[in-house]
Amino acid sequence: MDLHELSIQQAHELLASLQISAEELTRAYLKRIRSLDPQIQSYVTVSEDLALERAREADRRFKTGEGLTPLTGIPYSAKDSISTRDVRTTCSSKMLETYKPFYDSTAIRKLKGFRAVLLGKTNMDEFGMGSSTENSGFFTTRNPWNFDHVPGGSSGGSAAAVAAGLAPFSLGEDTGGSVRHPASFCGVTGLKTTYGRVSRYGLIPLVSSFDTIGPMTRSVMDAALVLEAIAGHDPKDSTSRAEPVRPYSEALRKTENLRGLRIGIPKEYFVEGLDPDVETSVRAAIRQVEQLGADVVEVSLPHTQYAIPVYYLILFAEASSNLAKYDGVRFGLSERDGESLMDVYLKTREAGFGAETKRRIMLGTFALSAGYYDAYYLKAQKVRTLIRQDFEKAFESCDALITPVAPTTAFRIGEKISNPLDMYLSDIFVVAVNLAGIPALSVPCGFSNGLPIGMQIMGPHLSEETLLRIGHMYQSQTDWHTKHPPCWNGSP
Amino acid sequence: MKYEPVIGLEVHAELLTRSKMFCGCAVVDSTTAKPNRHICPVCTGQPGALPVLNKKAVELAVRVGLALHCEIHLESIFARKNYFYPDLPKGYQISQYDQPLATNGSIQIETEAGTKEIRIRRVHLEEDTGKLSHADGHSFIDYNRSGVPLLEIVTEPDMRSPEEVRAYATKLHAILRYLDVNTGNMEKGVIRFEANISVREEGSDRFNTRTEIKNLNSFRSLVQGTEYEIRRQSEIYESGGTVEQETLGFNEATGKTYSQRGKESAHDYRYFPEPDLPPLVLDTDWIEAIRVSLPELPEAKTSRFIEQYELRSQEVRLLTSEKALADYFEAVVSKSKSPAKTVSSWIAGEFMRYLNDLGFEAANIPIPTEDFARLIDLVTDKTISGNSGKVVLGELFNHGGKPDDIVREKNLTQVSDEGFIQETITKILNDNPREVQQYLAGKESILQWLMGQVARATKGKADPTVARELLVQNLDKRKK
Amino acid sequence: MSEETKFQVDEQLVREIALLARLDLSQEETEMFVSQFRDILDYVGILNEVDTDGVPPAYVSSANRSVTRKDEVEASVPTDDFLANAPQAKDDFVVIPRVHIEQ
Repeated sequence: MDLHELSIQQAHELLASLQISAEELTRAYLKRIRSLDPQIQSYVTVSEDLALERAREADRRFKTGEGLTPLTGIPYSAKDSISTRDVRTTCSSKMLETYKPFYDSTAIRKLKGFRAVLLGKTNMDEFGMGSSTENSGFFTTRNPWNFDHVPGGSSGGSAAAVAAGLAPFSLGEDTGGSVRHPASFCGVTGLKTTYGRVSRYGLIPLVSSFDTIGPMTRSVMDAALVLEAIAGHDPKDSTSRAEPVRPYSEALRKTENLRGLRIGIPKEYFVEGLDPDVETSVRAAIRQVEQLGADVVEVSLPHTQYAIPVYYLILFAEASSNLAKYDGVRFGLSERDGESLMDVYLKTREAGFGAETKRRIMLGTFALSAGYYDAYYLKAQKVRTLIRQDFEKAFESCDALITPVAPTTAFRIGEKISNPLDMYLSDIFVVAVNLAGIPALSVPCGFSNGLPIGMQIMGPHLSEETLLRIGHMYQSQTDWHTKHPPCWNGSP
Repeated sequence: MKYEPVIGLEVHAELLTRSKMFCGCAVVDSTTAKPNRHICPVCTGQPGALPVLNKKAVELAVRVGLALHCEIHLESIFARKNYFYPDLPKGYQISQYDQPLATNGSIQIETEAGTKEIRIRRVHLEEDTGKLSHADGHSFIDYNRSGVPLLEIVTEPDMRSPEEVRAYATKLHAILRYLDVNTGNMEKGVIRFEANISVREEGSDRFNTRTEIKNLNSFRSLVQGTEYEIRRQSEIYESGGTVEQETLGFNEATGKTYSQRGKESAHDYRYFPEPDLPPLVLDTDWIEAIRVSLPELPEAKTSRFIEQYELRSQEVRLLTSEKALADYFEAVVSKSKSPAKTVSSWIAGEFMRYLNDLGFEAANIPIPTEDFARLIDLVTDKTISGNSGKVVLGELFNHGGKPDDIVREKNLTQVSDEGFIQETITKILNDNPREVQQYLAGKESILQWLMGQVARATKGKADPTVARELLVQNLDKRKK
Repeated sequence: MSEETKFQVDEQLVREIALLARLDLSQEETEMFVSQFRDILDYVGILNEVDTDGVPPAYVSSANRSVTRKDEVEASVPTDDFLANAPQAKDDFVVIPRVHIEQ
């Protein structure tokens, strides 16, 4: 078995028994990135020297046996919206092409504390605005299963890197499906965490009300191990939750079946426009879950069709404000060839932001401006209340809900880029979760024409343990998550 | 046509916390600190940084809200005020908008026509911006001040003259000092005023178009700017023109207001609830505990001083203008055997002069209260003369020490010995025959001049009562 | 959109919004935004189907209330770390073209 094929747990065992070193493992990944990533383009930055330095530090730990964690010496990548001290953090925007934060995000700081090894930063749609990475300010990442297709987005680089064996796990970020959507398109496991479960400190915001950091991995068990490391209360994030972090991986080891769980199937998620192959695979997965002992019932989330307009209106508004700091004054791109400060603002923002980003800033500025606030922003926030109530009601009788992640498998590069509205609609099954702030897990459940299909398991606030148990039991009975794209094999 | 101004004030006051509003950076004197030393990801608006609210800032804001008789809202929310300016690192300011901390309060001011109530519309928390300075073709930004907690206090348009504006501003300044929420140090820019002004025909109850003058940073500018703007608007109406709604700056050098923002950059702040901060929900017990801990405020203290110390309201107004001064007065009274009125006169006289001349704040008067009390008593019991008392006061201010030691070292003990004083008087009268003649011819003011000669000759030690008596007797003798 | 809230999306509106957002749009972009604004605002108009009378807005995502910190001073970051990213700096200040002040 090649080193890149090891799960986190397998790698840990070999590291702890000194059969391999963290440096070897890291070098194997760096080598793979060098040979394979020029085609896939999942990384924006590879921090090779720092990675090797950290790996050697981890190896010293293994020699003394002191302070070992399940992630000591395990390489990983992180979406390029997660601030990393001294490592360029660009949000895949020309605006931040040279920006090196002078502080670490809390999630990265925690992983440093766990002695995990950062390999580099992964590509995304600029500032998280998109579902394909085609809106990256630098390049489009390829779907490892078929290079003509998109990896999904916005955490497309993270998903592709994990799927192609260019990192054992990656930190993704989900604002409106940005972890689950690319996880589904690339056939990996992705967890969108409860709002506030993982600190947002240092996460460059798209929509402060929706943003969440979550693990993207090759299995649910690996996701549990990563979540244990990054979850928890952070005094630097006022919206971070204080409830203690559950021992997720232990819970998975103890789970034998899904008896006693009640799973709801929201009928609004199985409607016209859903690809028949996707529907068939997800329904088969639901039967599998039922066979593991869960009760399955149909439920209704009546306001589902309004989730997309509500999501985008709130996104436009918050994003327009969150992106105001990119003004060419303190950091990042600054166009100084004009004469006045106004020129700096206008020229910097014109040159630094891509088309989709500008479009959303414009729409948000409009939706918040005097005279339109009530009709758009306020209206959206009211409908959001109804969407949340739909979930609250469903969770009165169900422990979790299962749906498809996306209506189709990965679309072709270029297919939707010219029609923003069409692109927005591909998020139809994922955004409601962010409106409600609840967790949701995406796990591979089949293929159509050689492209992966994902199922989404949603639960009430802080139900990560339940979702992981369902996903883990499902993966213990199926092998979809063990399938790899053609580029996986062979030493580079 | 007679015009009447309608004026409302917005006051921004920095809150006296140790750390900033949303991060742990120290609050420092931004007029003296080296630039960009007290900064972090949060207060420089680094991507991904998040605010965490300073509880002390909330407490100080509640103190002010209570002192201004406001309704304190148990739930308030923060909002983003969006605009571009280089001293605003996030591109928005965290403030409060439609659910502020406190509303509906009032302040009593003294006017020539008597006491008047100015209604307070709202009191809310927000963060300060960085500071800009300009030289040549560039502007320079220092973010030390960015994120310092600010309290915004907004009145209803209840003021009708620059005098009322001054009275309100002075009163609010005193209250903030009493509450110990602000240093009151206007030169450091810790309190800034903005005035909303319109004028209308006297007797009308309509509200005309108003203008807003920003950044009036002293009482003087506030009054001058207000006066200028009232005049400007009145003249526009008189000549049949219309006043345009706009934001104005004030030039301290010329005493004039000027248009600050062109129409093309009209602002629309696009307020919306700040998603990074959960609602601020206050506990009624906590608010009550703050209410109980409030100090006695200027109005209550003034009434008490008038009653308890039998002082005139004019005297009391000086004493209660600053809490530290009022406290000092009371401490001296309690340690002195002299009447409170005597202590009050001493403070109002030479004492204030020294304080102002030497640049001392009431909060750090260099003379211990027991020493000042002792000095006053030495004069009251005639151990030293009033003139010697002033000498001792000067010593205490300039060099410190104990009053009794200074009296001894300087040999200031008052002389009531008639023989010694008579000897001095005889010499003075003999040396100044011309003045004696003038006095005898009826020019009585010469007596005061002669008293001065006695004081000089005895180095102020002669008991003035004894000296005056002897002087008159001696002069009377020479009349014959 | 319902008739009451219908309004004209035209180039002037797009230009005003662009200035507010400090975006220097080309003529081509301005024209494109006019048509995309219309489509997108038309689409989000389906929210008007929903009766929201008496429904409170869901402003707050966090389950938390009144999160505060103690008034304690923490270490600041070195000035050089901050200025390392600044496009222009001098004497520890961030430098920009002079802010225009009218007198």
